[in-house]
Amino acid sequence: MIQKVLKGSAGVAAVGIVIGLVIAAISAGSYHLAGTPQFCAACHSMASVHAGWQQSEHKQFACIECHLPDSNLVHQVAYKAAVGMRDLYHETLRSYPDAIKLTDGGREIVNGNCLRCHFSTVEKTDMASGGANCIQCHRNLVHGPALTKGGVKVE
Amino acid sequence: MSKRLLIITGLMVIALAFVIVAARVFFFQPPSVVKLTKIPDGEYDPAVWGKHYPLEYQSYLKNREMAPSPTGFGGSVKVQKSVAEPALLENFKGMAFSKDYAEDRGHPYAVEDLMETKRVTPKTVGSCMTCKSANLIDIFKERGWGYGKTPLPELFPLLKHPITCANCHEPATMKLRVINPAFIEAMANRGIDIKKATREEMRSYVCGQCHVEYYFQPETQKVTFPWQNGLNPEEMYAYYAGQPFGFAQDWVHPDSQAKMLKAQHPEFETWSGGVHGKAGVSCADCHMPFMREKGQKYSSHWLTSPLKNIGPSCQTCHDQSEQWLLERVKTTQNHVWQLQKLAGEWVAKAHAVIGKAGAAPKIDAAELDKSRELVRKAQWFWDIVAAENSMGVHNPDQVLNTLGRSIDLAHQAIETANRAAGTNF
Repeated sequence: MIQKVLKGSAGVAAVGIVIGLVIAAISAGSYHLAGTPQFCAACHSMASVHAGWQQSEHKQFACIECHLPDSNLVHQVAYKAAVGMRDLYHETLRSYPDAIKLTDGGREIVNGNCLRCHFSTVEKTDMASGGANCIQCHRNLVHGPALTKGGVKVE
Repeated sequence: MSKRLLIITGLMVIALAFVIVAARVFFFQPPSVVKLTKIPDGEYDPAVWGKHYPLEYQSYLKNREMAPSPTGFGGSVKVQKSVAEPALLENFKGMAFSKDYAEDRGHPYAVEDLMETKRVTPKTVGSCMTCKSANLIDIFKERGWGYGKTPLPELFPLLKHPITCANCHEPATMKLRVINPAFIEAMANRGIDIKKATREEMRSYVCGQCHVEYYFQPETQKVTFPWQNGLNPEEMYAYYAGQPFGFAQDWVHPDSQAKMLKAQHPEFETWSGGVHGKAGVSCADCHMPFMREKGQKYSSHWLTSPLKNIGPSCQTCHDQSEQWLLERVKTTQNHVWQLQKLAGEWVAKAHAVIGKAGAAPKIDAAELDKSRELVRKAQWFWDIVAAENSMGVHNPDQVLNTLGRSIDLAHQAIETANRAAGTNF
Protein backbone atom coordinates (compact mmCIF):
# COMPACT_ATOMS: atom_id res chain seq x y z
CA MET A 1 0.00 0.00 0.00
CA ILE A 2 2.69 2.47 1.05
CA GLN A 3 4.81 1.26 -1.79
CA LYS A 4 1.95 1.86 -4.20
CA VAL A 5 1.41 5.40 -2.96
CA LEU A 6 5.12 6.14 -3.20
CA LYS A 7 5.22 4.62 -6.61
CA GLY A 8 2.20 6.72 -7.60
CA SER A 9 3.57 10.00 -6.30
CA ALA A 10 6.98 9.28 -7.80
CA GLY A 11 5.27 8.80 -11.11
CA VAL A 12 3.35 12.04 -10.79
CA ALA A 13 6.49 13.84 -9.71
CA ALA A 14 8.45 12.40 -12.60
CA VAL A 15 5.79 13.43 -15.09
CA GLY A 16 5.62 16.85 -13.43
CA ILE A 17 9.37 17.31 -13.67
CA VAL A 18 9.42 16.30 -17.30
CA ILE A 19 6.57 18.67 -18.16
CA GLY A 20 8.28 21.41 -16.16
CA LEU A 21 11.54 20.85 -17.97
CA VAL A 22 9.82 20.92 -21.34
CA ILE A 23 8.04 24.18 -20.50
CA ALA A 24 11.26 25.64 -19.17
CA ALA A 25 13.14 24.57 -22.30
CA ILE A 26 10.47 26.04 -24.58
CA SER A 27 10.41 29.29 -22.62
CA ALA A 28 14.17 29.60 -22.59
CA GLY A 29 14.36 28.70 -26.25
CA SER A 30 11.64 31.23 -27.16
CA TYR A 31 13.26 33.89 -25.05
CA HIS A 32 16.56 33.22 -26.73
CA LEU A 33 14.98 33.21 -30.21
CA ALA A 34 13.10 36.44 -29.48
CA GLY A 35 16.43 38.03 -28.65
CA THR A 36 18.00 37.44 -32.04
CA PRO A 37 18.19 40.24 -34.61
CA GLN A 38 16.48 37.93 -37.11
CA PHE A 39 13.43 37.84 -34.87
CA CYS A 40 13.33 41.64 -34.58
CA ALA A 41 13.75 41.99 -38.34
CA ALA A 42 10.81 39.66 -38.98
CA CYS A 43 8.55 42.68 -38.46
CA HIS A 44 8.12 44.88 -41.53
CA SER A 45 8.50 48.09 -39.52
CA MET A 46 12.01 47.06 -38.49
CA ALA A 47 13.31 46.53 -42.04
CA SER A 48 15.15 49.83 -42.43
CA VAL A 49 16.63 49.96 -38.91
CA HIS A 50 17.79 46.37 -39.38
CA ALA A 51 19.39 47.23 -42.72
CA GLY A 52 21.21 50.18 -41.18
CA TRP A 53 22.45 48.13 -38.24
CA GLN A 54 23.85 45.48 -40.60
CA GLN A 55 26.10 48.12 -42.15
CA SER A 56 27.05 49.81 -38.92
CA GLU A 57 30.12 49.55 -36.74
CA HIS A 58 27.99 47.83 -34.09
CA LYS A 59 26.73 44.97 -36.19
CA GLN A 60 28.41 42.43 -33.89
CA PHE A 61 25.89 43.32 -31.17
CA ALA A 62 22.32 42.07 -31.18
CA CYS A 63 19.43 44.56 -30.97
CA ILE A 64 18.70 43.62 -27.36
CA GLU A 65 22.21 44.41 -26.21
CA CYS A 66 21.38 48.09 -26.64
CA HIS A 67 17.60 48.08 -26.36
CA LEU A 68 17.00 45.93 -23.27
CA PRO A 69 17.70 47.48 -19.86
CA ASP A 70 21.10 46.72 -18.37
CA SER A 71 19.65 45.15 -15.19
CA ASN A 72 18.41 41.77 -13.89
CA LEU A 73 16.62 39.05 -15.82
CA VAL A 74 13.24 39.69 -14.17
CA HIS A 75 13.27 43.34 -15.21
CA GLN A 76 14.45 42.44 -18.70
CA VAL A 77 11.72 39.83 -19.19
CA ALA A 78 9.02 42.17 -17.90
CA TYR A 79 10.28 45.03 -20.10
CA LYS A 80 10.52 42.83 -23.17
CA ALA A 81 7.00 41.50 -22.62
CA ALA A 82 5.57 45.00 -22.24
CA VAL A 83 7.24 46.64 -25.25
CA GLY A 84 6.81 43.43 -27.23
CA MET A 85 3.03 43.60 -26.78
CA ARG A 86 3.03 47.26 -27.80
CA ASP A 87 5.11 46.54 -30.91
CA LEU A 88 2.90 43.58 -31.84
CA TYR A 89 -0.19 45.76 -31.51
CA HIS A 90 1.14 48.46 -33.85
CA GLU A 91 2.64 45.92 -36.24
CA THR A 92 -0.72 44.18 -36.55
CA LEU A 93 -2.60 47.42 -37.11
CA ARG A 94 0.30 48.80 -39.19
CA SER A 95 -0.02 51.99 -37.21
CA TYR A 96 3.66 52.56 -36.51
CA PRO A 97 4.97 56.06 -37.32
CA ASP A 98 6.68 57.19 -40.56
CA ALA A 99 9.96 57.77 -38.77
CA ILE A 100 10.55 55.29 -35.96
CA LYS A 101 11.96 56.99 -32.88
CA LEU A 102 12.97 55.99 -29.38
CA THR A 103 10.59 56.75 -26.54
CA ASP A 104 12.07 58.69 -23.61
CA GLY A 105 12.30 55.45 -21.63
CA GLY A 106 13.88 53.66 -24.57
CA ARG A 107 16.46 56.40 -24.93
CA GLU A 108 17.43 56.09 -21.29
CA ILE A 109 17.97 52.35 -21.73
CA VAL A 110 20.08 52.80 -24.85
CA ASN A 111 22.20 55.49 -23.18
CA GLY A 112 22.73 53.19 -20.22
CA ASN A 113 23.98 50.50 -22.56
CA CYS A 114 26.34 52.94 -24.28
CA LEU A 115 27.94 53.54 -20.88
CA ARG A 116 28.05 49.82 -20.12
CA CYS A 117 30.90 49.59 -22.61
CA HIS A 118 32.07 53.15 -23.04
CA PHE A 119 32.00 54.41 -19.48
CA SER A 120 35.78 54.60 -19.24
CA THR A 121 35.82 56.99 -22.22
CA VAL A 122 33.64 59.53 -20.48
CA GLU A 123 34.22 58.83 -16.78
CA LYS A 124 36.32 61.95 -16.31
CA THR A 125 33.75 64.20 -17.97
CA ASP A 126 30.37 65.63 -17.04
CA MET A 127 28.73 62.99 -19.19
CA ALA A 128 29.45 60.30 -16.61
CA SER A 129 27.39 62.05 -13.94
CA GLY A 130 24.21 60.67 -15.46
CA GLY A 131 21.49 62.02 -17.69
CA ALA A 132 23.78 62.42 -20.70
CA ASN A 133 22.18 61.74 -24.05
CA CYS A 134 24.91 59.96 -26.01
CA ILE A 135 22.79 59.48 -29.12
CA GLN A 136 21.92 63.13 -29.49
CA CYS A 137 25.32 63.46 -31.15
CA HIS A 138 26.05 59.84 -32.05
CA ARG A 139 22.64 59.59 -33.71
CA ASN A 140 23.82 57.96 -36.90
CA LEU A 141 26.17 55.42 -35.37
CA VAL A 142 23.88 52.43 -35.78
CA HIS A 143 20.69 53.68 -37.39
CA GLY A 144 20.53 56.65 -39.67
CA PRO A 145 19.92 57.89 -43.17
CA ALA A 146 23.62 57.72 -44.03
CA LEU A 147 23.60 53.97 -43.52
CA THR A 148 20.43 53.17 -45.45
CA LYS A 149 20.75 55.09 -48.69
CA GLY A 150 18.63 53.83 -51.52
CA GLY A 151 15.19 54.53 -50.21
CA VAL A 152 12.06 53.09 -51.77
CA LYS A 153 12.85 50.68 -54.58
CA VAL A 154 10.77 50.29 -57.72
CA GLU A 155 10.86 46.81 -59.21
CA MET B 1 -22.79 22.19 -21.11
CA SER B 2 -23.00 25.96 -21.48
CA LYS B 3 -19.76 26.27 -19.50
CA ARG B 4 -18.06 23.97 -21.94
CA LEU B 5 -19.40 25.94 -24.88
CA LEU B 6 -18.07 29.11 -23.33
CA ILE B 7 -14.61 27.60 -22.94
CA ILE B 8 -14.58 26.34 -26.53
CA THR B 9 -15.75 29.71 -27.87
CA GLY B 10 -13.12 31.47 -25.80
CA LEU B 11 -10.38 29.20 -27.09
CA MET B 12 -11.56 29.72 -30.67
CA VAL B 13 -11.49 33.50 -30.29
CA ILE B 14 -7.96 33.34 -28.90
CA ALA B 15 -6.87 31.04 -31.72
CA LEU B 16 -8.44 33.33 -34.33
CA ALA B 17 -6.75 36.39 -32.85
CA PHE B 18 -3.48 34.49 -32.88
CA VAL B 19 -3.94 33.54 -36.54
CA ILE B 20 -4.82 37.11 -37.54
CA VAL B 21 -1.85 38.59 -35.69
CA ALA B 22 0.52 35.98 -37.12
CA ALA B 23 -0.85 36.53 -40.61
CA ARG B 24 -0.58 40.32 -40.42
CA VAL B 25 2.82 40.35 -38.77
CA PHE B 26 4.65 37.44 -40.40
CA PHE B 27 2.93 36.21 -43.52
CA PHE B 28 1.17 39.06 -45.29
CA GLN B 29 3.54 41.97 -44.82
CA PRO B 30 3.05 45.18 -46.77
CA PRO B 31 5.19 45.22 -49.93
CA SER B 32 8.67 46.62 -49.43
CA VAL B 33 9.10 47.66 -53.07
CA VAL B 34 6.90 49.69 -55.39
CA LYS B 35 5.73 47.60 -58.33
CA LEU B 36 7.04 48.98 -61.61
CA THR B 37 4.55 49.79 -64.35
CA LYS B 38 5.95 51.17 -67.58
CA ILE B 39 4.35 54.45 -68.61
CA PRO B 40 4.49 55.22 -72.34
CA ASP B 41 6.91 57.91 -73.53
CA GLY B 42 5.15 61.22 -74.04
CA GLU B 43 2.55 60.60 -71.35
CA TYR B 44 2.64 63.74 -69.20
CA ASP B 45 -0.73 63.49 -67.47
CA PRO B 46 -0.05 62.84 -63.77
CA ALA B 47 -3.45 61.18 -63.37
CA VAL B 48 -2.37 58.40 -65.75
CA TRP B 49 0.86 57.81 -63.82
CA GLY B 50 -1.16 58.05 -60.63
CA LYS B 51 -3.26 54.99 -61.49
CA HIS B 52 -0.14 52.88 -61.10
CA TYR B 53 1.55 54.83 -58.34
CA PRO B 54 -1.41 55.84 -56.17
CA LEU B 55 0.44 56.73 -52.96
CA GLU B 56 2.87 59.03 -54.74
CA TYR B 57 0.02 60.56 -56.75
CA GLN B 58 -2.17 61.18 -53.71
CA SER B 59 0.67 63.10 -52.11
CA TYR B 60 1.38 64.98 -55.40
CA LEU B 61 -2.23 66.18 -55.39
CA LYS B 62 -1.56 67.89 -52.07
CA ASN B 63 0.59 70.37 -54.02
CA ARG B 64 -2.73 71.98 -54.92
CA GLU B 65 -3.17 73.07 -51.34
CA MET B 66 -2.77 76.80 -50.85
CA ALA B 67 -1.68 77.49 -47.31
CA PRO B 68 0.75 79.65 -45.37
CA SER B 69 3.93 77.95 -44.16
CA PRO B 70 4.21 76.89 -40.50
CA THR B 71 6.69 79.69 -39.81
CA GLY B 72 4.71 82.39 -41.60
CA PHE B 73 7.43 82.93 -44.24
CA GLY B 74 6.83 81.67 -47.76
CA GLY B 75 3.87 79.37 -48.18
CA SER B 76 1.73 78.69 -51.25
CA VAL B 77 -0.88 81.42 -51.00
CA LYS B 78 -0.82 83.74 -53.99
CA VAL B 79 -0.15 87.07 -52.32
CA GLN B 80 1.96 89.98 -53.59
CA LYS B 81 5.37 89.94 -51.89
CA SER B 82 5.37 93.73 -51.83
CA VAL B 83 2.66 93.67 -49.14
CA ALA B 84 5.23 92.48 -46.60
CA GLU B 85 8.24 94.14 -48.25
CA PRO B 86 7.21 97.41 -49.97
CA ALA B 87 10.83 98.15 -50.98
CA LEU B 88 10.31 95.58 -53.79
CA LEU B 89 8.20 98.14 -55.66
CA GLU B 90 11.03 100.70 -55.52
CA ASN B 91 13.83 98.31 -56.32
CA PHE B 92 12.11 96.71 -59.32
CA LYS B 93 10.78 100.01 -60.67
CA GLY B 94 10.75 100.00 -64.45
CA MET B 95 10.51 96.24 -64.87
CA ALA B 96 7.89 93.51 -64.78
CA PHE B 97 8.48 92.40 -61.18
CA SER B 98 7.10 95.73 -59.95
CA LYS B 99 3.80 94.91 -61.67
CA ASP B 100 3.30 91.41 -60.33
CA TYR B 101 5.49 89.48 -57.90
CA ALA B 102 3.35 86.98 -56.04
CA GLU B 103 4.29 84.19 -53.67
CA ASP B 104 4.59 81.01 -55.76
CA ARG B 105 2.04 78.24 -55.63
CA GLY B 106 2.64 74.50 -56.09
CA HIS B 107 3.83 72.66 -59.21
CA PRO B 108 0.28 71.87 -60.46
CA TYR B 109 -0.34 75.61 -60.91
CA ALA B 110 2.85 76.35 -62.88
CA VAL B 111 1.23 76.77 -66.31
CA GLU B 112 -1.89 78.47 -64.98
CA ASP B 113 0.17 81.02 -63.05
CA LEU B 114 2.44 81.62 -66.07
CA MET B 115 -0.59 82.41 -68.21
CA GLU B 116 -2.12 84.67 -65.58
CA THR B 117 0.86 86.72 -64.40
CA LYS B 118 0.97 90.36 -65.42
CA ARG B 119 4.68 89.97 -66.10
CA VAL B 120 3.90 88.17 -69.36
CA THR B 121 3.18 90.36 -72.41
CA PRO B 122 2.71 89.43 -76.09
CA LYS B 123 6.47 90.01 -76.48
CA THR B 124 7.55 87.67 -73.68
CA VAL B 125 9.95 85.03 -74.97
CA GLY B 126 9.28 81.28 -75.13
CA SER B 127 12.20 80.52 -72.81
CA CYS B 128 9.94 81.44 -69.90
CA MET B 129 8.09 78.13 -70.16
CA THR B 130 11.26 76.04 -69.71
CA CYS B 131 10.55 75.17 -66.12
CA LYS B 132 6.77 75.34 -66.17
CA SER B 133 5.68 72.26 -68.07
CA ALA B 134 6.50 68.62 -68.79
CA ASN B 135 5.69 69.44 -72.43
CA LEU B 136 9.18 70.99 -72.57
CA ILE B 137 10.40 67.49 -73.44
CA ASP B 138 8.65 67.46 -76.83
CA ILE B 139 9.09 71.16 -77.50
CA PHE B 140 12.87 70.90 -77.02
CA LYS B 141 13.04 67.66 -78.99
CA GLU B 142 11.29 69.25 -81.97
CA ARG B 143 12.73 72.75 -81.92
CA GLY B 144 15.93 72.68 -79.86
CA TRP B 145 16.70 76.08 -78.32
CA GLY B 146 14.69 77.62 -81.19
CA TYR B 147 11.67 77.74 -78.90
CA GLY B 148 13.49 80.33 -76.81
CA LYS B 149 12.78 83.16 -79.27
CA THR B 150 9.23 82.06 -80.08
CA PRO B 151 6.76 84.44 -78.38
CA LEU B 152 5.53 82.75 -75.23
CA PRO B 153 1.79 83.15 -76.00
CA GLU B 154 2.37 81.14 -79.19
CA LEU B 155 3.58 78.22 -77.08
CA PHE B 156 0.68 78.37 -74.62
CA PRO B 157 -1.50 75.88 -76.58
CA LEU B 158 1.33 73.30 -76.33
CA LEU B 159 1.50 73.48 -72.55
CA LYS B 160 -1.06 70.80 -71.74
CA HIS B 161 0.41 69.93 -68.36
CA PRO B 162 2.31 71.77 -65.65
CA ILE B 163 5.30 70.30 -63.78
CA THR B 164 4.37 66.64 -63.44
CA CYS B 165 5.89 63.19 -62.93
CA ALA B 166 7.72 63.23 -66.28
CA ASN B 167 9.80 66.26 -65.29
CA CYS B 168 11.76 64.10 -62.88
CA HIS B 169 11.08 60.43 -63.76
CA GLU B 170 11.92 58.14 -66.67
CA PRO B 171 8.51 56.76 -67.65
CA ALA B 172 9.76 53.21 -68.29
CA THR B 173 11.91 52.72 -65.20
CA MET B 174 10.85 55.45 -62.75
CA LYS B 175 14.54 56.34 -62.45
CA LEU B 176 15.21 59.99 -61.70
CA ARG B 177 16.07 62.21 -64.66
CA VAL B 178 16.63 65.84 -65.50
CA ILE B 179 14.87 67.31 -68.54
CA ASN B 180 16.02 70.93 -68.46
CA PRO B 181 18.85 71.15 -71.03
CA ALA B 182 20.18 74.33 -69.37
CA PHE B 183 20.95 72.42 -66.17
CA ILE B 184 22.68 69.57 -68.02
CA GLU B 185 24.84 72.07 -69.90
CA ALA B 186 25.65 74.17 -66.82
CA MET B 187 26.73 71.07 -64.90
CA ALA B 188 28.80 69.82 -67.86
CA ASN B 189 30.56 73.21 -67.91
CA ARG B 190 31.50 72.60 -64.29
CA GLY B 191 32.85 69.15 -65.23
CA ILE B 192 29.92 67.21 -63.82
CA ASP B 193 28.35 64.53 -66.00
CA ILE B 194 24.71 64.16 -64.99
CA LYS B 195 24.59 60.68 -66.50
CA LYS B 196 27.08 59.50 -63.88
CA ALA B 197 25.22 61.03 -60.96
CA THR B 198 24.33 58.77 -58.04
CA ARG B 199 20.74 58.33 -56.94
CA GLU B 200 21.40 60.51 -53.91
CA GLU B 201 22.78 63.30 -56.13
CA MET B 202 19.81 62.98 -58.45
CA ARG B 203 17.54 63.54 -55.45
CA SER B 204 18.88 67.12 -55.52
CA TYR B 205 19.53 67.54 -59.24
CA VAL B 206 15.88 66.98 -60.18
CA CYS B 207 15.03 70.01 -58.04
CA GLY B 208 18.17 71.92 -59.04
CA GLN B 209 17.22 71.76 -62.71
CA CYS B 210 14.81 74.62 -62.02
CA HIS B 211 15.28 76.02 -58.51
CA VAL B 212 18.28 78.09 -59.61
CA GLU B 213 19.43 81.51 -60.74
CA TYR B 214 19.52 81.91 -64.55
CA TYR B 215 19.46 84.44 -67.41
CA PHE B 216 18.62 84.39 -71.10
CA GLN B 217 21.42 84.92 -73.64
CA PRO B 218 20.31 88.09 -75.49
CA GLU B 219 20.89 86.73 -79.01
CA THR B 220 19.18 83.32 -78.69
CA GLN B 221 17.13 83.68 -75.49
CA LYS B 222 18.78 80.42 -74.43
CA VAL B 223 18.37 79.70 -70.70
CA THR B 224 21.82 79.84 -69.07
CA PHE B 225 23.03 79.44 -65.48
CA PRO B 226 25.77 81.83 -64.25
CA TRP B 227 27.85 79.09 -62.62
CA GLN B 228 31.18 79.34 -64.43
CA ASN B 229 32.98 80.81 -61.39
CA GLY B 230 31.04 79.04 -58.68
CA LEU B 231 27.68 79.04 -56.99
CA ASN B 232 27.83 81.72 -54.28
CA PRO B 233 26.41 85.24 -54.77
CA GLU B 234 29.87 86.83 -55.15
CA GLU B 235 30.96 84.31 -57.80
CA MET B 236 27.75 84.63 -59.78
CA TYR B 237 28.03 88.43 -59.65
CA ALA B 238 31.58 88.24 -60.97
CA TYR B 239 30.32 86.08 -63.82
CA TYR B 240 27.72 88.67 -64.80
CA ALA B 241 30.34 91.44 -64.60
CA GLY B 242 32.02 89.80 -67.60
CA GLN B 243 28.86 90.45 -69.66
CA PRO B 244 28.51 86.84 -70.85
CA PHE B 245 27.14 86.50 -74.40
CA GLY B 246 26.60 90.26 -74.42
CA PHE B 247 24.27 90.11 -71.44
CA ALA B 248 24.81 93.40 -69.59
CA GLN B 249 21.63 93.86 -67.58
CA ASP B 250 18.01 92.84 -67.14
CA TRP B 251 16.83 96.46 -67.12
CA VAL B 252 17.88 100.02 -66.29
CA HIS B 253 16.48 101.41 -63.07
CA PRO B 254 14.60 104.63 -63.96
CA ASP B 255 15.67 106.56 -60.84
CA SER B 256 19.34 105.67 -60.50
CA GLN B 257 19.92 104.78 -64.17
CA ALA B 258 21.86 101.77 -62.88
CA LYS B 259 22.08 98.65 -65.05
CA MET B 260 20.30 96.10 -62.89
CA LEU B 261 20.19 92.34 -62.52
CA LYS B 262 17.11 90.38 -61.40
CA ALA B 263 17.92 87.33 -59.28
CA GLN B 264 15.74 84.22 -59.49
CA HIS B 265 15.05 81.62 -56.81
CA PRO B 266 18.58 80.23 -56.18
CA GLU B 267 17.52 77.43 -53.81
CA PHE B 268 19.98 74.90 -55.27
CA GLU B 269 22.97 77.24 -55.08
CA THR B 270 22.13 78.42 -51.57
CA TRP B 271 21.58 74.89 -50.26
CA SER B 272 24.74 73.54 -51.90
CA GLY B 273 27.02 75.71 -49.77
CA GLY B 274 25.02 75.28 -46.57
CA VAL B 275 25.46 72.75 -43.81
CA HIS B 276 22.85 70.33 -45.16
CA GLY B 277 24.16 70.55 -48.72
CA LYS B 278 27.76 70.09 -47.65
CA ALA B 279 26.81 67.14 -45.46
CA GLY B 280 25.22 65.41 -48.44
CA VAL B 281 21.61 65.84 -47.35
CA SER B 282 19.60 66.07 -50.55
CA CYS B 283 16.59 68.28 -51.29
CA ALA B 284 14.35 65.21 -51.29
CA ASP B 285 15.66 64.01 -47.92
CA CYS B 286 13.80 66.90 -46.26
CA HIS B 287 11.20 67.93 -48.83
CA MET B 288 10.12 64.44 -49.93
CA PRO B 289 10.40 62.38 -46.74
CA PHE B 290 9.55 58.71 -46.53
CA MET B 291 6.00 58.25 -45.34
CA ARG B 292 3.96 55.13 -44.63
CA GLU B 293 0.47 54.19 -45.61
CA LYS B 294 -0.75 50.99 -43.95
CA GLY B 295 2.86 50.01 -43.45
CA GLN B 296 3.94 50.63 -47.04
CA LYS B 297 6.79 53.08 -47.39
CA TYR B 298 6.67 55.77 -50.10
CA SER B 299 8.30 59.12 -50.83
CA SER B 300 6.02 62.05 -50.22
CA HIS B 301 5.50 63.98 -53.46
CA TRP B 302 3.98 66.91 -51.61
CA LEU B 303 6.73 69.45 -52.19
CA THR B 304 6.31 71.79 -49.31
CA SER B 305 7.88 73.06 -46.12
CA PRO B 306 9.51 70.17 -44.21
CA LEU B 307 8.05 71.77 -41.11
CA LYS B 308 4.62 70.44 -42.07
CA ASN B 309 6.03 66.94 -41.46
CA ILE B 310 8.76 67.41 -38.89
CA GLY B 311 8.76 63.73 -37.86
CA PRO B 312 9.73 62.10 -41.14
CA SER B 313 11.41 65.24 -42.58
CA CYS B 314 13.71 66.29 -39.75
CA GLN B 315 13.66 63.76 -36.95
CA THR B 316 15.21 60.89 -38.88
CA CYS B 317 18.42 62.85 -38.22
CA HIS B 318 17.57 65.40 -35.52
CA ASP B 319 16.82 63.95 -32.12
CA GLN B 320 15.18 67.08 -30.69
CA SER B 321 11.46 67.66 -30.24
CA GLU B 322 9.21 69.04 -32.97
CA GLN B 323 8.70 72.25 -31.04
CA TRP B 324 12.44 72.74 -30.59
CA LEU B 325 13.17 72.22 -34.29
CA LEU B 326 10.36 74.55 -35.38
CA GLU B 327 11.65 77.24 -33.01
CA ARG B 328 15.18 76.94 -34.42
CA VAL B 329 13.94 77.52 -37.96
CA LYS B 330 11.74 80.41 -36.85
CA THR B 331 14.69 82.02 -35.06
CA THR B 332 16.88 81.83 -38.17
CA GLN B 333 14.10 83.12 -40.40
CA ASN B 334 13.33 86.04 -38.11
CA HIS B 335 17.00 87.08 -38.11
CA VAL B 336 17.18 86.83 -41.90
CA TRP B 337 13.88 88.65 -42.42
CA GLN B 338 15.01 91.62 -40.29
CA LEU B 339 18.21 92.06 -42.30
CA GLN B 340 16.50 91.35 -45.62
CA LYS B 341 13.96 94.12 -45.01
CA LEU B 342 16.70 96.48 -43.91
CA ALA B 343 18.83 95.69 -46.97
CA GLY B 344 15.86 96.17 -49.32
CA GLU B 345 15.07 99.55 -47.75
CA TRP B 346 18.67 100.79 -47.98
CA VAL B 347 18.91 99.68 -51.61
CA ALA B 348 15.67 101.59 -52.35
CA LYS B 349 17.11 104.65 -50.66
CA ALA B 350 20.32 104.33 -52.70
CA HIS B 351 18.33 104.37 -55.96
CA ALA B 352 16.53 107.52 -54.83
CA VAL B 353 19.71 109.28 -53.70
CA ILE B 354 21.57 108.46 -56.92
CA GLY B 355 18.57 109.74 -58.88
CA LYS B 356 18.54 113.04 -56.98
CA ALA B 357 22.32 113.40 -57.12
CA GLY B 358 22.17 112.86 -60.88
CA ALA B 359 19.97 115.95 -61.17
CA ALA B 360 22.49 118.17 -59.34
CA PRO B 361 24.04 120.99 -61.41
CA LYS B 362 27.68 119.86 -61.11
CA ILE B 363 28.43 116.14 -61.18
CA ASP B 364 31.53 113.99 -61.27
CA ALA B 365 30.18 111.56 -63.90
CA ALA B 366 32.75 108.83 -63.24
CA GLU B 367 32.04 108.92 -59.52
CA LEU B 368 28.26 108.78 -60.14
CA ASP B 369 28.79 105.73 -62.36
CA LYS B 370 30.66 104.15 -59.48
CA SER B 371 27.64 104.67 -57.25
CA ARG B 372 25.46 103.00 -59.90
CA GLU B 373 27.75 99.98 -59.94
CA LEU B 374 27.56 99.90 -56.13
CA VAL B 375 23.75 99.94 -56.07
CA ARG B 376 23.65 97.26 -58.76
CA LYS B 377 25.79 95.03 -56.57
CA ALA B 378 23.93 95.99 -53.37
CA GLN B 379 20.62 95.03 -54.95
CA TRP B 380 22.03 91.77 -56.29
CA PHE B 381 23.16 90.79 -52.79
CA TRP B 382 19.74 91.65 -51.38
CA ASP B 383 17.73 90.08 -54.22
CA ILE B 384 19.67 86.78 -54.32
CA VAL B 385 18.41 86.31 -50.75
CA ALA B 386 14.96 87.88 -51.14
CA ALA B 387 14.20 85.78 -54.24
CA GLU B 388 15.29 82.57 -52.55
CA ASN B 389 12.58 80.40 -51.04
CA SER B 390 13.60 79.50 -47.48
CA MET B 391 14.09 82.85 -45.74
CA GLY B 392 17.69 81.88 -45.20
CA VAL B 393 17.25 78.40 -43.77
CA HIS B 394 18.94 76.71 -46.73
CA ASN B 395 22.21 78.39 -45.69
CA PRO B 396 21.82 80.76 -42.72
CA ASP B 397 25.40 81.96 -42.28
CA GLN B 398 26.00 82.69 -45.96
CA VAL B 399 22.65 84.43 -46.30
CA LEU B 400 23.27 86.71 -43.32
CA ASN B 401 26.71 87.52 -44.69
CA THR B 402 25.20 88.35 -48.10
CA LEU B 403 22.61 90.67 -46.56
CA GLY B 404 25.29 92.39 -44.46
CA ARG B 405 27.28 93.00 -47.63
CA SER B 406 24.18 94.39 -49.31
CA ILE B 407 23.55 96.89 -46.54
CA ASP B 408 27.19 98.01 -46.62
CA LEU B 409 27.18 98.34 -50.43
CA ALA B 410 23.97 100.40 -50.34
CA HIS B 411 25.57 102.79 -47.86
CA GLN B 412 28.65 103.02 -50.05
CA ALA B 413 26.44 103.77 -53.04
CA ILE B 414 24.72 106.62 -51.20
CA GLU B 415 28.03 108.05 -49.99
CA THR B 416 29.58 107.84 -53.45
CA ALA B 417 26.59 109.50 -55.13
CA ASN B 418 26.65 112.36 -52.65
CA ARG B 419 30.38 112.77 -53.20
CA ALA B 420 29.86 112.82 -56.97
CA ALA B 421 27.30 115.62 -56.76
CA GLY B 422 28.50 117.42 -53.65
CA THR B 423 25.13 116.79 -52.07
CA ASN B 424 24.01 115.40 -48.74
CA PHE B 425 20.89 113.35 -49.46
